[in-house]
Amino acid sequence: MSVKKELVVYPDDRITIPSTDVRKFDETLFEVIDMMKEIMEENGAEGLAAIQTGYPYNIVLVKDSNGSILELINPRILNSEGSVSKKEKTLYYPDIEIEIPRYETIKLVYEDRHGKQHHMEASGDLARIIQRKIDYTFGGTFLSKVSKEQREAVEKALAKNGLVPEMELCPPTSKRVYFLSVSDKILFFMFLTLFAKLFNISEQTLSSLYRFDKIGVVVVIILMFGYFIFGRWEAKKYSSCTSCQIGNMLGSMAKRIVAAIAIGAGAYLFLGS
Amino acid sequence: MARVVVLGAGVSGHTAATFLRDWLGPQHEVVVVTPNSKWNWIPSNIWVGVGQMTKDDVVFDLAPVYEKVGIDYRQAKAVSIHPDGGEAEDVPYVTIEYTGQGKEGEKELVSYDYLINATGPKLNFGATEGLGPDNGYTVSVCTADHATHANEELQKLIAKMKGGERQKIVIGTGHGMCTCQGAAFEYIFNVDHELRKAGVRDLAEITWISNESFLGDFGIGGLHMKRGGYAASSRLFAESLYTERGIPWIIGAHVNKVEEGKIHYEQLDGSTGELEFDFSMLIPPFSGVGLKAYAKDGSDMTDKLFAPNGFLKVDADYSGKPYEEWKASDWPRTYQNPDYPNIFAVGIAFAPPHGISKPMKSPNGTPINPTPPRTGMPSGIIGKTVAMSIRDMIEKNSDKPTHHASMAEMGAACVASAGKGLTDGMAASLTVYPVVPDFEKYPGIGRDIDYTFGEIGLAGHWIKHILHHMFLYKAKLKPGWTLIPE
Repeated sequence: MSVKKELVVYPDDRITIPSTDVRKFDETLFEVIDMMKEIMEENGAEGLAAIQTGYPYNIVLVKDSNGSILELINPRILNSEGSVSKKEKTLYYPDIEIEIPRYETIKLVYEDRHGKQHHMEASGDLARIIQRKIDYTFGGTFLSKVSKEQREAVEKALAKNGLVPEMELCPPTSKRVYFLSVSDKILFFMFLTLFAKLFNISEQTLSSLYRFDKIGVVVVIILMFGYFIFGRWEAKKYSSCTSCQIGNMLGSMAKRIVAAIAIGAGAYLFLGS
Repeated sequence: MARVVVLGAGVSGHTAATFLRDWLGPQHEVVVVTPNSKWNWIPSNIWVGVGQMTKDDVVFDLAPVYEKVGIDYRQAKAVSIHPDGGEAEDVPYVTIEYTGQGKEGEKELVSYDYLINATGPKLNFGATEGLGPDNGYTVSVCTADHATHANEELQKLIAKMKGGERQKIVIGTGHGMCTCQGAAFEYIFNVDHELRKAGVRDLAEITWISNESFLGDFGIGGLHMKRGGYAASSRLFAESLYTERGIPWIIGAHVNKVEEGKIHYEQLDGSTGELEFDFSMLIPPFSGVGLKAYAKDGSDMTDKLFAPNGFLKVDADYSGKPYEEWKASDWPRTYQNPDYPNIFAVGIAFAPPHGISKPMKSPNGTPINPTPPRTGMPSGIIGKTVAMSIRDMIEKNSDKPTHHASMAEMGAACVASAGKGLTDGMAASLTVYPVVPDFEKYPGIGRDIDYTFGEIGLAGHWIKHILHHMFLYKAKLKPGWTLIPE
């Protein structure tokens, strides 16, 4: 057998790789299926997704009520009915048992090892296992189905057993926030200038404050573009840092640019005229 | 002197025509033939469909814009293409029939040196009995007028719910071969958002129905968002979103008939079902607009120029190879017709070689899978790319297109609205690279996860709103419009 035999277990996060559909129904597929069956037998598993063996292909094997192994290639759940919560175990999280809500009955389409399309209905434990395995093929584990608190509790329990995921954490501080900090300070002082006319201030000073506001608008906009460019560069180093993502940065940019323009407009009305 | 004729003034046609006009000297002519008098920023039709914008917010008159820059605008629909000329004409030409400008019904021949087919799709409501706002029972948001009508119906529904009546809403795709699942996705969440704002969400039973084989397919075989250094599937993202909003889904479904208050559908397993509704927005399938092509002797050669679905053939691989042999290189790069080098097709008007999502059929032989999208950012990029090639062919005497923009080599950004509101709006911002997966270059999911990411939140909504104004500004050719990317 040329395919590598391996069982992916926590904290190996290859499990989160979404599987791609099988396009070639050839000898390699048969070898992967045979290897998966061996792992199932060795571990007494009721089901297995190919990604649990490190192969990111859309292959699910499950034991039916007779103990025969069903080969589900490229399975898709079309319909579901009812919801039942029941305790589940999976090979990926050793020694963890957790209550997971699942559909009671599902209807699915899948292909066999020769690429022929079939459909089936499953209920009870079989439906439960199929759902769990299909979740794996889309990059989800059973912890994707529970609350954040439950997930953290499980991870804590696993950590007690010495199983700690290698986390690439987003740094608590980032140098790009300096761009925001400077902008916020400029905006704050620009905002204060809007009230200058309430005080007995000379025309020359008012004119200087107006000039400060005009420059401030430009500087804040430049800083925000600098923030975005620097942030994108910085984000490349921390792939798990969700706050580095473009949406958040654009949001931060937009807020300050809008504020700068609004204050600039206010300055034009109150100080410029 | 050369004359470039552009059929259609949607995102891709308008982009191609306006850039050509900008780049080509006054000795060259740019003619736009479109049956519409207005340009429509289609992505914002979603907000018209829920009453958050009006039709006037998303359209503008084309005539003054084209007059300003010297584009010869003819409000007419294209009827036929004669690439070799005709019995009385030695030069290639198109026949058109006016729909406005006081010449309604008049026919005309328009000769061309270069032709860009950017007609967009025919909204093929006829493919499903009872589908659509004109001869059916469902609404649509595909045009600004459809969206206005959809909102009128939605407001009636909300009024009924305010009166305490429970209502059933079904949103999704109206045929097994639809594209644009993203538009339906946006609409269902915007409707949900509006019902919550109106305080009647608890009286609405909202259901999603689509031809996707898994939730979050979006016609491109799903997205994969970067999470913790790995990609997370759009299926998990979509399922959690639908579950959070209390929206059940029916997928792998071909809607085969709509009656008043009832949708009939067939699923991938061959089973059939019915869904009752009080209000339903179903996207129709697209087809070519029905342009004919004729040889010089007047014989019909439509099959030579157009694929069976009515879209124009370009430099793609149309050999009909099986799914396992699909390759990124099957997709067109220059959008030039293989038989007539002076004819191009852009946007939805070009015939794709095959799907992006996995092709699937029910046991009854009904194909049920999304067809590939060619809208939004890619269509603008393709329009500009073809314009660059034609410019070089005219001005530099290039004998072949000089620029290329394969969907298997380009990325795309998409901001999908999930509710409009300055402080409580929400949108999913997504980028994919490349649009068409390249399984050879990126083994596994076929995409580069470094350039494929997504996030949902308020900032996304603001971006979507800014883009609305930005693209309308660009399309109106206001100062600096060429600097705004497609």
